[in-house]
Amino acid sequence: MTLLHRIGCCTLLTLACASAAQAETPRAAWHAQIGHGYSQLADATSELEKTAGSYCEAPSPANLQQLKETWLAAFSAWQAVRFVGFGPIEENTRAWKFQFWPDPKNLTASKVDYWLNSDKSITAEAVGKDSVALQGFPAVEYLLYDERITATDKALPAERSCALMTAISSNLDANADSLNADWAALEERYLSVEDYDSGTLQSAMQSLELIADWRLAGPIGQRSNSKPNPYVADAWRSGQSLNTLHASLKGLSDYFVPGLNLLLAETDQIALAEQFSQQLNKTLAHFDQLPSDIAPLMETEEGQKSLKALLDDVNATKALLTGPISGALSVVRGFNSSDGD
Amino acid sequence: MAARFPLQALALAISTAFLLSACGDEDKAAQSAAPEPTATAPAEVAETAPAAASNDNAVAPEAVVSHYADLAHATYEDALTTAKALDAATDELIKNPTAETLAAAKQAWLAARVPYQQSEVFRFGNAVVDDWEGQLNAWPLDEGLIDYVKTDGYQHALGNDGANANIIANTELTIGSETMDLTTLTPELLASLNEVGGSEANVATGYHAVEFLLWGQDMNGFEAGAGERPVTDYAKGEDCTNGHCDRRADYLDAVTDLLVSDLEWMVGQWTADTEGNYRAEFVAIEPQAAYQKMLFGMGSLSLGELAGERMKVALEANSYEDEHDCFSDNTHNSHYYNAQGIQNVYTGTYQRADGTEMSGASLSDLVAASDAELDKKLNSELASTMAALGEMKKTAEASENPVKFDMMIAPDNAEGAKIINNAIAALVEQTGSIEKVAAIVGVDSLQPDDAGHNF
Repeated sequence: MTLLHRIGCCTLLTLACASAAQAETPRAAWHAQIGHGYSQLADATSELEKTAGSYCEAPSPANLQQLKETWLAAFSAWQAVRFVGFGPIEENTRAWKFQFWPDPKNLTASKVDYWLNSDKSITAEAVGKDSVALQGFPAVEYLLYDERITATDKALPAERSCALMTAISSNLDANADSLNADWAALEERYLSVEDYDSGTLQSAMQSLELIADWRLAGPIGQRSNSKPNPYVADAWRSGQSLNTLHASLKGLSDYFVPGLNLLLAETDQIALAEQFSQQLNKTLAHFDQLPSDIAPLMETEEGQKSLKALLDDVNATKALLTGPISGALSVVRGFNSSDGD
Repeated sequence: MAARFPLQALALAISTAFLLSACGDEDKAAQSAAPEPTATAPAEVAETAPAAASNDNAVAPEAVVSHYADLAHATYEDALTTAKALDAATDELIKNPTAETLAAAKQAWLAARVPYQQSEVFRFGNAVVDDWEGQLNAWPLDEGLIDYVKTDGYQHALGNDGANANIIANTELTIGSETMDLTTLTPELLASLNEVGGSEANVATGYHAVEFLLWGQDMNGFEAGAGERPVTDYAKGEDCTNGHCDRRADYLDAVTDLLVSDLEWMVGQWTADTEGNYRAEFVAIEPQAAYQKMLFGMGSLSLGELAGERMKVALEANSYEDEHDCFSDNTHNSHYYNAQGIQNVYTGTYQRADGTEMSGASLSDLVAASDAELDKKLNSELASTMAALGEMKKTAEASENPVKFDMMIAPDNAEGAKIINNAIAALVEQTGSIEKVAAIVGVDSLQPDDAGHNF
């Protein structure tokens, strides 16, 4: 409790500090906004941990519904900061501990099933030492939504399922707290090391590439030589795959764009900044007309058309950032972990 | 062409190594900046193919480019020779299925992996290789496409309609609206079944298909032991186990023939003085464009592929589904020789399958001429990587209590994790220097250049 409190204060101080001293620099803006995103994530996982506990103490349909909503809110808070691929998120495989993705062979299910079927004692600490596929939001989603659980005697609130879900939630919260604290501690360095400009830009570029080329193109079959595969999408078990994409794009808009605008303004590229914001907003507007999931849209020709139209705008957003903007800012792409296959 | 998705979540950006974090990285930076005192310089490079036609001691760009092509040619030639031996050994197994012929075929497969894994460094920079290699080395595979599997303990890729097709047991395959006639198992038919139904996990050909046909599923999880396919899976008549032994033999015959003909084609692409092949095109491009391909291949294999997909995923997810040579438990060697290939390209050296040593004008010579310090650093890092993977190999091949890669990645194996993490760290480190080398030799972008090479 004391620790949590302390971390909360730190973050507030950091934000205040940043805005007072250097709010005008792009990196100060990025540090403050990403920090805001991380503290939102820490709040949301803390809520998830609490709700998981209260559901398991007093299970009811209403409590279960509330738990599902809290899970979605926390998973969405993660989607919003998923574009950050540098700094403390890089350490200790933290990103995979929030979401092991992609998971083509359904390791999430194998690892959760293994724990449900064993008689090992379930604690947050034990979860934190096991496979990253056991630790993330998808493992909670599997317990909440997958028929391999819900249609069996393992369905919540079965004892071990409840214990595991609570332990995973608690581990998620601990990870979000330490991520938040480490980001705050990075401030001085982040503000003083100029290369973080291109590090932050590259990270946003890769995230848009991932959204365009995999998270959306994969499930709707717009990758070369592949048919639609719904399991490539995020949150396919809960039917929230468009909501999670929306959360990621909104995260870019909230936490990345302000710093980008400042950076472009420094080099007299305000027109490019406006163009990017407009394109991103146009992309975000698609979601007003779309349901929460990709799958039902794939069943009709009209639905497929609307997904293709969304993809076109995501691609246009990506192209602006990886083309003219990175050119104007002289960002050179180095090797990254997705090189290779 | 490969089976896994890119791994955004694997955050190992090395150009920004110093961006890693706030705490503790002063120490890390200090460590990595300190040159290794015991730097093992690469053995006498650049002596046999000296930098012709240049003044001073500078190495000629053309010599570096052409020696790289020589290395590629020799490596593929060795891959071909050992694949032919594998083909002969499997023919013998098919003709006379005994414990001995099965063991000999497995040995031949293991030997064939040595040059092939060293060839993978040529893959990412050269589209001619990258577009071709899926038919030879795609993984992980849903082996139920090929043959019988035990259903419990077989987790195939989600959404793969071909995951239980069992080509060996069926003379017809229906996926979606398409029905295919599988009566005669030819190399061409098997090649056409790769990625059938739009799933990359459908791998019908290549080293891993052969590996599965020789070893079978590894049902031991994190425990000791590889696949244990009985040799009677190839027995004739009544002795046949698990059914369809004739078709299994036909499959093995066709898939090894295909491997040989594929490698023959690639050797042809790298043969000197041959009009219209890839090498002719390659040696004609600007040297900087050629260096870009060399370095892109080294960096991509070091970081994203070997450190990332082939080690980090398996380790962090504790997933033997993501083990590279999962049927034979030869993963340690596949990793070791991948890294060896990277060192080969930088130093211009290669130990051939028959033991002879090749050396010649290299990137190392080129870098040494303008930044001796960086050259020394990268050579030392490459040596450290080989030492780290040597440790993995030694542990996996120990005569007493060997610990194979699939045991190292078990959730509670701290020692195993340490061995793997050391190898990953060494690969990350060397990738940083590979990027710096790119700048030194005049490569300004490490984006793969795929323009114009569609063979």
